Amino acid sequence: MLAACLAMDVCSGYFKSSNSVHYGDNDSVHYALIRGTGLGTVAGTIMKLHLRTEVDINSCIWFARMPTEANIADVPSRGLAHPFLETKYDESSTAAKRVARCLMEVQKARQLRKQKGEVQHTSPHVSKRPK
Amino acid sequence: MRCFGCCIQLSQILLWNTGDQEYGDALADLVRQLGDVVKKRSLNRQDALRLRGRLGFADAFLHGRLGALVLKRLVDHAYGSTAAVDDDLAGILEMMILRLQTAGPKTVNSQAVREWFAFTDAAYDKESQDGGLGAVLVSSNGDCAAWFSVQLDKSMCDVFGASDKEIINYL
Repeated sequence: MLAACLAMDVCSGYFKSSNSVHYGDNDSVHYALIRGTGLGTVAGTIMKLHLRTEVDINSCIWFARMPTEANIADVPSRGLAHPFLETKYDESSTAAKRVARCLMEVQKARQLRKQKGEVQHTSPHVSKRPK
Repeated sequence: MRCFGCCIQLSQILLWNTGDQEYGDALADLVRQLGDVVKKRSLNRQDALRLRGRLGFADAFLHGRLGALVLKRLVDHAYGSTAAVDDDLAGILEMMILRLQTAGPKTVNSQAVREWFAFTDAAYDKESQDGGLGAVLVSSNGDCAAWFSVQLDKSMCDVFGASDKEIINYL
């Protein structure tokens, strides 16, 4: 989800008033992006940033899923090189700055939640049936 | 031609009057109404359904996910048990106000078919507890337009919940 949020932010100049298709290989992130909601403080905060960017750049996005093997973004996410990814198009330094911004927003949201005294479930939301 | 939330631009001919008083008044009225809800933090069923009706133009095609989300959340709220507006709904309404005030109407022109394909992925190594984010932007011609690779250390992953959950989808 953070990768999608970051891509939207870093490439906002391209996405402005355009139709774009966002591909990812994670099902839960895919459905959360379609819904426009994220459960929990972290996911909720990242989703808000994502929505805010969408509003700011006036874009209409279509979300689609693809298998990991076909996802070219798998390569840069592991810090590997690929001939398709030419150095002149590298936006990593911009992306690193935007990650710092996301970090700050998430930390702020967590602190706010702590101040309110709300408890976030850290364990899976499924309870096992007693034997 | 200009209607609520939508501009149709044919060739270079401007068919609307940018100082359209009726459009401006209706927009200002809607923004005020949304602002009141956010301020009062209360919305009864009748008003919620009425507001949903006024926002009927905000379908997914014109306003992306936000339009669809606003409509869904208003209907959920209308048939909910309380009139109190929660933080989530208030946040979405605030974004809708921003959208109406700043983003301007959607423009339908020859550039409407311009498409971008964004591929995104994240990686996380359980052993070293660090991760990475990657994205590639591809044009409709199939050319790479931009890409990034960001590595996240353990402290950063922890902020995003790596230590809380077995699988962190936030990345």
